[in-house]
Amino acid sequence: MISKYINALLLVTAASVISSCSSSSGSAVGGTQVTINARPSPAVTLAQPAGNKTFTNDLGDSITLTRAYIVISNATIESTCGVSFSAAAEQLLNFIIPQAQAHTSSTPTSIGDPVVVDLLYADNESVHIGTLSPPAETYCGVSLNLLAADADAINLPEAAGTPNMVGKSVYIEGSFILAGGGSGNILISTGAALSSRHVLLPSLMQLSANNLSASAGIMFNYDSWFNAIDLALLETETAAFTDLGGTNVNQLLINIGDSIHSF
Amino acid sequence: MNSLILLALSLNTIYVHKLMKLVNLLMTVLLLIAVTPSVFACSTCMVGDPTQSLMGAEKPFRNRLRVSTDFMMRSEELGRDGFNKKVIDEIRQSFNIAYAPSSRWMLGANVPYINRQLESFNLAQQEITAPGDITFTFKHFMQQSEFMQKHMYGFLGGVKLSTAAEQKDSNGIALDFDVQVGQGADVANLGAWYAHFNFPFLYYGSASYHVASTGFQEFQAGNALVFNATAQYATSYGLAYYAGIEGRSSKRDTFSGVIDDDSGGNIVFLTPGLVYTIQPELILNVVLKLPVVERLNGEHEESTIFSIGVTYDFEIH
Repeated sequence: MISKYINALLLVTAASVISSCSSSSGSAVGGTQVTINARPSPAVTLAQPAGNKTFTNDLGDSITLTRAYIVISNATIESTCGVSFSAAAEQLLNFIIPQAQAHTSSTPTSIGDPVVVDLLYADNESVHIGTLSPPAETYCGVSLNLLAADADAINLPEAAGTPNMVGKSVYIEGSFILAGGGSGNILISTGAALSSRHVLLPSLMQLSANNLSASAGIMFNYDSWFNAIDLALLETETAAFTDLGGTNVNQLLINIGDSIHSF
Repeated sequence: MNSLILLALSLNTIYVHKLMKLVNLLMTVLLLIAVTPSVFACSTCMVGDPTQSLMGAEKPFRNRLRVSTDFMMRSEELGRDGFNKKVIDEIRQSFNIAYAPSSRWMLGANVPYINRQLESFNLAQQEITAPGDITFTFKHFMQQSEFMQKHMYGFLGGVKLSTAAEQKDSNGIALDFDVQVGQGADVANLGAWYAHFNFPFLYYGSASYHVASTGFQEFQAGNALVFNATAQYATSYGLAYYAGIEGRSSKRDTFSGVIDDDSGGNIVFLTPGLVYTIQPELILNVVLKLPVVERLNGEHEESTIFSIGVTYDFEIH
């Protein structure tokens, strides 16, 4: 007798459970998101709108840039910024690897797609370099590689009169007026791979369930690029082609690396 | 004389009643040994006997019907910490039915209802709650004896059909493969089993080989050998304890022809459990599966599995 009741109870229970289990659902919630931006940002000169950029170097020479492109081939956020990282971050770039490279591997903490940054954008106007979805940790710095763009690079200039940046890491075009008189033109075009640049973030970036989104900014103090450079000699060193062995070319590329900071 | 006859009949009745409880208990133990196959990250990742419902220490009699339901919890970790790690938590309610069309065959079906949650290294979360793949099983009894034989053996096998739909997010993009409740693949298995009963001990072992078709997102599960061996001791006609091992040895999976380095390998669980007779037709089972040997390839860990369920017997007239 009891078994009959149990049978009935089990059947009813099974029927109700099975009917309630006939539905299905799926959902997705996004995880961490770190955007990396870059922007032109003069260190001394007042911010300028988009277009030609005019400034003065530490020798009093006046420089006007009419084209300026830098290729960031790889940007990696770092969770360990020990003594070596900090030292590297403060160290002046002192060598250049004359070798072009293209894409690198993207990882959750690294953007591997080369991006061409146009430094003639309005100052302090950010260019999107990429978005990461890294592990939820605390990040302290960004490592950058400046290598030559490949044909798949992002933001390749396409307008008429713009340079073909494929195979190039740096392209600068402009003119100068020396403080002591005289003038000339600037044309830097190279695929040289600049040494990696490590920059400390202004504050720790902490990603957690309560703080899923953050951003890291890279700025180029372009108005420091021509400090300590003999512009007349630079013109000579770049007359036929950009001679990486030229003292002033080398100093310019070092200055470019050193002009990179975080914001 | 009449008193003696009545006493004999009474004792016989008591004996038969206890015997039936014992048989029922043993059958349930074997049912539990044939633990519900679990759909892990790959479609053939499972341990235990692939048949859903066995009919125990005796051959099944014709028209025997058994239903059971099991609740199971487990978790799994895939990938490298801080790089591509995924943590998967699974809760599964399985509904099983087994029917004996003759004393030689036992046919079964399993319908799971599954909740899977995935959290990635970047705190992205995905969750699916849906019916899983339906599995059909068979078990063949080769021995001739019809009642209380000590040695039993035969073949077993089955097929898991790709009945679970691939779940997508609100934008129509398929959710991560590792959170899907089904893999979109049909999985066939074939094996053999053996049982030896000598009250209060019962020994059972089985092994089966699993082969899967291509599933969602061009996933191809590696072939797998699944095996188990269990010893059970009954302290009474209503309570039994058992312990054994359940293992899996599988090849690596592939996605679109690319080998998944964090898949395949060998794992062995230690499986202590108990069976308790609530009433003659209703039996409770509880089992833990503790991973004691984990030689899985790459970055891949499986957790302890907890399962609890009830089984109920019918006889169709």
